[in-house]
Amino acid sequence: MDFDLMEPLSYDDGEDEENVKSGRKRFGTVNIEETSRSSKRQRCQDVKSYKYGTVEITEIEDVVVEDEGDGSSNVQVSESDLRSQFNGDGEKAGTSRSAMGASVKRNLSMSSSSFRGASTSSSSTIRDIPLEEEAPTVRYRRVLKRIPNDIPYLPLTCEDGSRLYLRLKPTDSLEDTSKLGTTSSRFNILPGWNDIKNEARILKDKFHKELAKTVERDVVSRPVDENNENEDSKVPDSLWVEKYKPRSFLDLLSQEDVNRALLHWVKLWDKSVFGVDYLAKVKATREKYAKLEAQEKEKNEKYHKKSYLPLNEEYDEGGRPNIKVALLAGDPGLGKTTCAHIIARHAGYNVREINASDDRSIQAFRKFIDDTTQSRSEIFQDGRPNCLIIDEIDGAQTDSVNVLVELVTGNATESGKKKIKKVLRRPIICICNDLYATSLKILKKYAFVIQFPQIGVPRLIDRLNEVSDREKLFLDSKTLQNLCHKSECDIRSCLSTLQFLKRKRCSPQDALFAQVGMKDKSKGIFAVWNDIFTLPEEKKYHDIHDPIKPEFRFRNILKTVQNFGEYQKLMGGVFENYLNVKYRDSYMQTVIEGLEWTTWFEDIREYVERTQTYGMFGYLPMYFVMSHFLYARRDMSRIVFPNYELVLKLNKIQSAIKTQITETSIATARFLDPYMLITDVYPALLSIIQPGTIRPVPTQIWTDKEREILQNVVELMLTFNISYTQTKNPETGAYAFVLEPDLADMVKFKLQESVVSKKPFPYAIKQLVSREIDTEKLRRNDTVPDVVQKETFKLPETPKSNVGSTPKSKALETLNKTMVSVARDFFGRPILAAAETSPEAEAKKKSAAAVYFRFKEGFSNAVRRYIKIRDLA
Amino acid sequence: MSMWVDKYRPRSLDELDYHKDMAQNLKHLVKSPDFPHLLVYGPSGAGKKTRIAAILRELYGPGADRVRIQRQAFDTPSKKKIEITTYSSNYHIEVNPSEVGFQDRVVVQELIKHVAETHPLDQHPFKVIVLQEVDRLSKDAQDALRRTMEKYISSCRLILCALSTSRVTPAIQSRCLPLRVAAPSKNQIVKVLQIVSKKEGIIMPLELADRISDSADGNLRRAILMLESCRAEKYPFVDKQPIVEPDWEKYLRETAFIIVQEQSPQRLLLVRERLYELLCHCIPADLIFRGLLKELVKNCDNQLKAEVCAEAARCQWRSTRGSKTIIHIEEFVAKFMAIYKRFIEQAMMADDFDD
Repeated sequence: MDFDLMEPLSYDDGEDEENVKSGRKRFGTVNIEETSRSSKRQRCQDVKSYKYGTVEITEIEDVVVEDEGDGSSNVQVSESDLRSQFNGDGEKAGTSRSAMGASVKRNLSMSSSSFRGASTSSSSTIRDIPLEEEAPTVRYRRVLKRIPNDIPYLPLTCEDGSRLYLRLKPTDSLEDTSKLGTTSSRFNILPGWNDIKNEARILKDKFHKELAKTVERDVVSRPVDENNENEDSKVPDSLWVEKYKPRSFLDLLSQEDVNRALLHWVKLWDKSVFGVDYLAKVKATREKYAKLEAQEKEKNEKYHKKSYLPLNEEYDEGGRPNIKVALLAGDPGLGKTTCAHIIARHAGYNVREINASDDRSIQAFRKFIDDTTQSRSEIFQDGRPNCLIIDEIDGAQTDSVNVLVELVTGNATESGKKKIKKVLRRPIICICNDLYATSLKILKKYAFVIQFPQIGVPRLIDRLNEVSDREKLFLDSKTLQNLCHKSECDIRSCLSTLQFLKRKRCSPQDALFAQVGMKDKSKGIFAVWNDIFTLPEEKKYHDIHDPIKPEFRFRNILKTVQNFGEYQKLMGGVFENYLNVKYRDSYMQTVIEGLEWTTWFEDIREYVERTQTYGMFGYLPMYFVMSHFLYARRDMSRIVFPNYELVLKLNKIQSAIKTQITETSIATARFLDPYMLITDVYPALLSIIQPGTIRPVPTQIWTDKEREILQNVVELMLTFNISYTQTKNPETGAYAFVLEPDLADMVKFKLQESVVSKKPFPYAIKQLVSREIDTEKLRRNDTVPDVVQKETFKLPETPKSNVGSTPKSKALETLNKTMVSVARDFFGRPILAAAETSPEAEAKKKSAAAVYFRFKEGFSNAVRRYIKIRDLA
Repeated sequence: MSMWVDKYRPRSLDELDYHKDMAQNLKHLVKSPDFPHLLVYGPSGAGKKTRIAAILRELYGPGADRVRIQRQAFDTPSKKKIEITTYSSNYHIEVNPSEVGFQDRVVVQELIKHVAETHPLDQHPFKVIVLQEVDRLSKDAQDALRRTMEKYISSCRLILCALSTSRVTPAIQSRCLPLRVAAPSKNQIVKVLQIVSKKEGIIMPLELADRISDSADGNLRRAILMLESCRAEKYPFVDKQPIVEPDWEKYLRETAFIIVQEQSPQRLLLVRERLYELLCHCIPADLIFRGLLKELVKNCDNQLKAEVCAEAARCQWRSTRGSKTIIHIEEFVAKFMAIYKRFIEQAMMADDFDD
């Protein structure tokens, strides 16, 4: 008999309560009721009968877990159709409920329905479950249609592909607590249960055989938890973090959509690694359930902020996914590493990990990657393909990361054989804490970035509860909640703290508890600035740790800042942003007070630096506390990073001036200092060397005065070592002469008042000046003997390098002429034609044969001239 | 050929155009057997370096003008190499220790030791070390200086050059003969400008010279540079010949105007951007303070002036210690805004009351 599952699927507790009162036996956590009024009916063949709540679920999970433990890549589980017949006790609902033909089908793989087609359905029937069985009264009764955020839940898929999420009842009593992923023997009392189990085993074996055909693999020996209880007493030192590590996909505490996204990505590799076209399957199912999928998506998007961008699912020509690296980012203790390991194993890979404790020099890194992903012998080492997990990648050198980037982008080449490109054949999962580390800048572009969200507190509490009960700690949920808040939902620190408590045998309420479990975690710089500039959120419940109270704000900011450490950097950000805060007082008192604190900060810092009294350093964080109280608002506009461009510009100008002053002629430089240069001399010089008294007319009709001025300009520019360089405007293609160094850039400001714009110095005159300067330089160098030689060697290049720039090449030609005419020997004497015939001169010529001809740019046959050495030397 | 500033720079003490009595005194000083350490101070463009050069020439003759440029390297105690440019003749060496920032102490010690250890070869009993921008020296360097000044007095003399004595420690001041080179008066500037234009053979209307000397504000170098750039802009001079002023001054004036226009944090943000622009163009904080104050005070009532000046002084003094000058300038602007706004609103209320 089939059971109709209605919409809405959540039922109000009120009715349940009523039912409880009426003494009806409850069938587990889910209360499914038929409502014939509902117009939209969905047939749901596979509804899990949640009799006895968690109990059954756990049992089934176990089956699943074992499947996964073996690392099957295509897990198709499911599989017990629980068919139960209820003989109602005569009540109205009895007719509908009693005949509860619910076949349970749980599909655990990532895309819910993708494997369904392949799965062999098996069913076992439970009949006549005696209603006298104990039925725990349940308070949480909800079937949810979207992924519940914080609460423990169990996903299940209906026949039509829609997904439902069953909220699980938190288990409080020890009896109820089952080991993580283990069978508790007590559930064997369920008649028919063993049948189901056996059925599942058979199924599993069958499945394994199939798998074994494709990839030969060993069955990974998994620590069986049944034995743990005994082992614990022997080995009390095993860390709980290890002991209670999730063993399967379902055990993962991180959000399901994140887990799924990662698994989905890993699965994309199936095509090239296992030869199974996973994506095709996914697509097929997606088409089938396209409508539902869209609905799901809409629902989920409404409630969840996606922690990753949609994945590019395309394959490249090699059948590998386009995005070849996954990058998991998130705070410590969110379970990134665990998640990566389990998912890799789940998808049938052999996990190879490299982390910060390994040697990560470029060579070692390259070798490791090559070994694990390239060489054939290593790839199938233990029967399963490798999946590389690079943990703590943000700590690696940029160069090492770039090795990976090269491999991912396909630019890496086999050493020695240049043409063979290395091909990445295995998935690589990278894990980092700080997504914004500089070393990851490039990698991020090529990676499927998943940011791990925080773990829901209720889920974590639930897990901790289980653990604490198993370890006979019996902590109440309030304490656990405190612990979660303290550690900011860091699973590792929570578990370690619990273990600590157990070992110390002290009561959790001890004052000690306030100290342990505190994380000494430093936040990113933006997070710290955010903390300073925003008021803390008011908590819903009021307890002593209410963060809105001034003393806690004080303490929190102080702690955060102290953990961060780099006060000066922090101060830069605070100073940069404080004016964007909205102020209420009209006379800027807050601003002034803030500025006084800032100068106080600077005073102390300067004092510390000058006198090396680092004892004073401890007072610096107080500035940030003060800033917080002055500037914190509910709505802080976006925090901007201090503008370092200005510093760069300053450095640029400073260094330019420094070099200028050393290259200015001595008689002038003696009376200069850098500041004078920038404030007085250069502004005037800029107009002096671009005089408005020279007419832009041909030089022939210039007056003597104009010639004199030009001469003066040239001399001045030489004195201050300023020249023109010809540049080409990349857009218009026009040529322009720019001062070198660019004085205008140094001394000009964007003025508001409309200055009577000076006529730009005409191009023709600039060109003329530039040519004059070159000749003049040459002439001056000419008097210095050595330089002649240098100039001579440079000469062959000149015609080449200026192809295309006609005005300049003309100028250079004139230069060449002068050059040839002034060719002199080593001692500056003009070389006589007669001397060339003499044997000494011949010898000299041979020895001076060090004429280098280097092709620099342009088209080689554009200007090709034969130049004889004789002409040059 | 060089700029007029250099071209018509007086070479000897006799040629100096103003402060002639000081020139006479200096001549006597040079002739006297005990030539002391000198501390020459005065505003920019008053002729400090010109006078120092003239003194050197008076001491050593024209040989002192034959200056060569050298890069000297020193090792810091932490084995770091620092380089500094020196100008030296056979008789003297000129150096600007503030070029190397906080390492200036090393330069002062090493350089003086180096120079003082080698006795001069000819009849001159001592060498001269000219230290530029002494007021920019760190306190460490100044402390290092005071001992060496005494130790090597037999073989060398120091001529220190500074903008003002306020940042030179009293210990050094007391070891030197202070020599104040006051800025030339307006008339003196006009006179110099006339001499220059006469030598250059250009006709300069007196009105232009007046305006230039007004605008130069006691800075003779700037006055001559202005004259030269005016000449380059347009010649013969016309009525209302525009004077080329440095852009940063105009920019500073505009900034002051913006401050007076409105007083709010948003406005302060705008002002900060402009201050950043000035600072990253290497305009020294002192000049920014001075320029702003000069313009802001113009808009102030007499009773406010004192208050504003006091704030400016306090902030400027602080800015000389910290590295982030922008904070101090901004603090001054914020304080001015607060003072000014309160004053304006009170005045308006009073006006309302009167009505």
